[in-house]
Amino acid sequence: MKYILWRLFLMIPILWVIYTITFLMVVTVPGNPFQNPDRQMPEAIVRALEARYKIDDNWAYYWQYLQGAVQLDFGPSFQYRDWTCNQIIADALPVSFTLGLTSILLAVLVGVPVGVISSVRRNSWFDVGSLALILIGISLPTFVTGTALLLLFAIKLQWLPVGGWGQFAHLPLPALTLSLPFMAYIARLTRMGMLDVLNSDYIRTALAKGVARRDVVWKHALKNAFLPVLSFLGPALAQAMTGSFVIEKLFNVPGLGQHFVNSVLNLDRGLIMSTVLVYSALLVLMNLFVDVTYAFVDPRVRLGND
Amino acid sequence: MLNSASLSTTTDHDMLPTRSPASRSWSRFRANKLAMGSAIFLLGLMVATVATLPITSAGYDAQTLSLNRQPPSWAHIGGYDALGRDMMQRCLFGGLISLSVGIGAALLSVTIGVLWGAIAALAGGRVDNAMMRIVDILYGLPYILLVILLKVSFERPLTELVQWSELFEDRNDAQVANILILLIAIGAVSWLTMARVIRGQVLSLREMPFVEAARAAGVGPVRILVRHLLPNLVGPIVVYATLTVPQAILQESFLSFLGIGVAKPIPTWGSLAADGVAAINTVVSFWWMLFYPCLFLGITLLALNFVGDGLRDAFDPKTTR
Amino acid sequence: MKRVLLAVLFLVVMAVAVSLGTKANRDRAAFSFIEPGGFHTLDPAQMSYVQDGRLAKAVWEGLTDYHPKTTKPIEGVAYFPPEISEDRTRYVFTLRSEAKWSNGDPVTADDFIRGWRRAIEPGTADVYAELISRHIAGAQTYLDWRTAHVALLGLIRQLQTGSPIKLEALRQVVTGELGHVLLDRLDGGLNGSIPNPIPPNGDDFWPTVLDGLRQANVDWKKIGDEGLDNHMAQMEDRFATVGMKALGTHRLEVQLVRPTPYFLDLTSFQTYLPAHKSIEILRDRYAGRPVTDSGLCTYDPQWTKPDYHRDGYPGLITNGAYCIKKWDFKRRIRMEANPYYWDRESVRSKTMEIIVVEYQNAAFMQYEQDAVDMMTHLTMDYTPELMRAMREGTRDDIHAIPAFATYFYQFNCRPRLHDGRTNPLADARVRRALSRAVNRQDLVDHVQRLNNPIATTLIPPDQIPGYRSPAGLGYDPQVAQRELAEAGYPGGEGLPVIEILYNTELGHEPKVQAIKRMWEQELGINVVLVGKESKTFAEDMAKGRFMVGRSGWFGDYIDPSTFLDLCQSKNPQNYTGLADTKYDSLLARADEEIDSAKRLAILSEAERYLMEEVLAILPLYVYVQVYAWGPEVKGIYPNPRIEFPLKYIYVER
Repeated sequence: MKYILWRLFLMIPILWVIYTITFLMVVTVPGNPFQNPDRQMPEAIVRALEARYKIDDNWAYYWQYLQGAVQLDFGPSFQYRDWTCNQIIADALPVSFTLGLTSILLAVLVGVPVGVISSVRRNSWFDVGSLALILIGISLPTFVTGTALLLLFAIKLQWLPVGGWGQFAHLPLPALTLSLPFMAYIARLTRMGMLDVLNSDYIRTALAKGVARRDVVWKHALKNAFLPVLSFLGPALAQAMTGSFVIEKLFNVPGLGQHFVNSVLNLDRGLIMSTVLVYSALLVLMNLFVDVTYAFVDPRVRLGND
Repeated sequence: MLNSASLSTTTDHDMLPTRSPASRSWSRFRANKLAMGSAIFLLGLMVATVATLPITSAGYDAQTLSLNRQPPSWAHIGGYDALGRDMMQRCLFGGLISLSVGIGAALLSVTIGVLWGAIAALAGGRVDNAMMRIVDILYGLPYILLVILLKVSFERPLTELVQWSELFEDRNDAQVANILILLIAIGAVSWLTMARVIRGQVLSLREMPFVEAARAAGVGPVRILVRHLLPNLVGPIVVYATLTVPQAILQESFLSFLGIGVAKPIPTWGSLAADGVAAINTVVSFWWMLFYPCLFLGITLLALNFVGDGLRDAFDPKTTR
Repeated sequence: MKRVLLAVLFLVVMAVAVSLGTKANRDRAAFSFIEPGGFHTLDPAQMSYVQDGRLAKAVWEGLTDYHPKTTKPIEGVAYFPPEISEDRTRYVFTLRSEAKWSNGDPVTADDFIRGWRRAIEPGTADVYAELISRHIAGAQTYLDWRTAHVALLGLIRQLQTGSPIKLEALRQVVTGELGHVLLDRLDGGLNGSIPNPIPPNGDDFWPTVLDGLRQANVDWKKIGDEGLDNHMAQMEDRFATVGMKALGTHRLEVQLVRPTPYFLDLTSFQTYLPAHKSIEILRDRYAGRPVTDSGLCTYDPQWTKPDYHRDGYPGLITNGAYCIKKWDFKRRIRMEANPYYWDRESVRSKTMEIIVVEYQNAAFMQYEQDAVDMMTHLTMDYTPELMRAMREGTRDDIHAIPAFATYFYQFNCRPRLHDGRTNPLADARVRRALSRAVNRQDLVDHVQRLNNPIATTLIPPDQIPGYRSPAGLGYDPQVAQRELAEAGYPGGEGLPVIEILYNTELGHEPKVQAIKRMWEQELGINVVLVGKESKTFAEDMAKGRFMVGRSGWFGDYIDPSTFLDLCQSKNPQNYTGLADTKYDSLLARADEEIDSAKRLAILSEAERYLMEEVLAILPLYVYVQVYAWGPEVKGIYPNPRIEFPLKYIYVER
């Protein structure tokens, strides 16, 4: 569709602006990426390295990096000298993809039904209890919930490995931990949306017409209530794929999230910018995917009118 | 969400015998037991952290090295941490810091968000478009990266500014700057949703008759904003502000887990929890070093969320029946 | 709706299959261990981290090796001992003919020269260049000559492309020997010379010079290319004056600057490893010349990968006990025994795997789950509890090894701090007071808790044979208070706020907090903690932006100079800014002393002076490294240098 092409085309200036903003922020960070905490390098050698990696001239670096980025060549990493940013990202992206997608799926599969049920049985024990349980997902940091799950399933019961990546057994614990905050949010969104819809004339008419209660709730009401959840999913997917640095550290998962944090702390300019570009591109794509799905789901929505 | 039932006009003389929307919202909130209870708890907690300040401000770093890692006893129900400091005092002082960072960041993001969204909506046209595009682009930047970048870039200049201002004792300057920069970094990255919501609200408010009337009467945009619009925005503002506080506190806890949160020795619930997690092992249990910070953190955040939900329900009557 | 969910489900299954299937390693290696630090680089000329060195020494082999039990030098690629001249400055190593690279090529003297040269060539030279340049004759001169030319050429290239130029760099080149090359190009005005005295940094003179150069009607590219060719024409002749020569394919002659009793210790170090000639394929070239346009010798950093084949590169070729089979970034390194290694009979584990885990707790839990056989460098909060369990007999796998390394703080000794404030620590009495106010025993007993020996000297005592350590200053709060009063701050009154700079990772925080309290309580002063991330911390330390800075040092070779040089005034590693003529002259005298015993005595006096009077360093304790391996792991012999040659280690199953 023309709309999709238009949105894809828009990605280019958006990414370019993001690139510029990030670049400006990165060059204001004080510090030298070639410094080792315990030993110091002679000044001339430091300058030689800067010239070699061409970071002595910010303006030239800006354009040169941009040229490379357009051809999907993100240059070398300054911290991990034996690796290029392309290698690092290509290595980490599929991992984050799997982890993120799985955790969002989990969040939806559990969060939506819980939200629906608690909206139907309002103020019952189920409502309060299940919501409280899920709200733990947003009231405790993920490194705490993750540690608790780890202690229980990996150490006490020994059902799952403590960490690492490479087999299916490595997926459940990190995915579950990562899904909790999203699960909580989705449950609340669903509940709110359902409460909204359940009071509408549309639903009351359907009930009066004799449509089965279960169908009313799960088919008609949910279809409408799901819309806010859907629009939340776009940024949520991107965030789950890239914002999982705590999970990655705790469960030793070699994903992309750690690079967002470490690249800044290591003053690794090349890696900072490549991870930002990848993240932004992902986000734009996810938003597009969600918007299209939105239109697909709700025939009243016409794309192109913003 | 607005509907005419929850609007208030600025006519101070209310001819109708009904109660004002504000007091109606308040009584709805009061009826929500969960939200009310949480609000009372929060108030109590804040009072407790401030009231114990005379003790905790000295006690949070009172190290008795030989008492390190001692478990709780009746006299010291929190036990001791790795440097022989009383955990309960550290939790109370940490609560003050966490809540300050949370509330401060929320206030900052609310201020920026409201101004941004309202101005965009009122200005309309190309200005509105440009401002919202900027929001879209900022949305495209990873949150945590921005927070860390802001902190790393601006901590030193901010420290110098605090030193220059002479507002605090010299030895506290660096710590004040450190807390401030975190507050600013988190708040500066959290205003985007608020801006969008406020813009939406102001857009629909703009079309309301009383605003049209004010404009026709020649009232300036600033006055419109302050006297006519803000009272009606109180609902969403309060709700989102309350819900931003727990987010900010959690963000600080993640930064502490990574080692770049509030600087030691000043505790926050997040950094205490992170330290507690690092002490978890299968050989010997130091459960109190993790349990108490998590208890405080979890209950407070739950309470904040319940209050936020309650406020949302209270300000929007549609969802409460 | 259902269709959307199904589509997403399908995507997930695909993604799971794709990403999980690819990197799984089903078969467990003969020996595997967890390295919590991760690897920074595999280039021997550029590495400085212990774990990088450990890996490098498993995969390459130098002229000598470390004996697994005593860490004394033993034979490596070369027969041991080498021929040593009467005056002990000339060594001739004979390489064994059966020493081969992993592709069957024989290891030659040229391979060593190539490897050693990389360590002192600008472009690949890194922090350990000094291990070569300070010991091998002519190396420092060559390095300086090259550095000066690279700086000049770099400047010319920046003028050529119009890039921004740092005035400090301009000043250094113009005031150096090669300054005339630039000054001659200035149109009139300066007449090609600099005013005397030389204008300092920040003076208006320099921007004028820069403008003049930019405006000069000069073809900088031509000058740069000519200069480069000129430089390269002399390079090999210049390098020939450096004290490393190949006398035939299997004999290497080394000329030292002065007699160096520990030289054979150095030749086992990673900076002295050889490099295979295939690396030249990946050398950066500028218009056919084997250097960059400013004369830097650099290589494609991918040369360390076993599966990199650009331009016909055969992948990483090494001569040590192991070859790297696969390197998964931040996950694991898989190695296999090198079939061409001359001593392959003594390589016990035919496959080896190193797993990288960043978070300490997660690393130890993985070790506990029996996923690996060993874990290096335990630094968890509860490591002391594990050690206690070991002592009580409930565990049998925790090993605490006192190291040849000291944990200390550095004092900024300069008269002024980086921002212009007067430095209260410039007064040695204040430094001595601060040192005497630290209760090291409490620190070790309650905070560090690894039974570390407390340190009152810079060098860990009783580790260098024939060397007598001085006593140093112990815990004495009364004397501390008295000296502080004598310095003008009775009861701590009037002393400006003392800042302690430290890096927030790796468990330094409890110790910094404890010492802050000790100073506040014993001396009544105000202390502030400045915690930074490692990179910013390193930069601040290097630039002298601190008052008290957390630090530490591992001895690189068994000789006092590896520690004592830290406070030598011209040493770039000297962050304290100490410029004490008496200390420098003691070190210089020791350098000239031929008699080993007399030399050690002079160095002992230097340390005594440093640690009892000058106090530029505040020693705290001797490092204790804790490693975890079970009784079934054989071939590891704990030693203070933490040298565990991997080729001897195996698991008895």
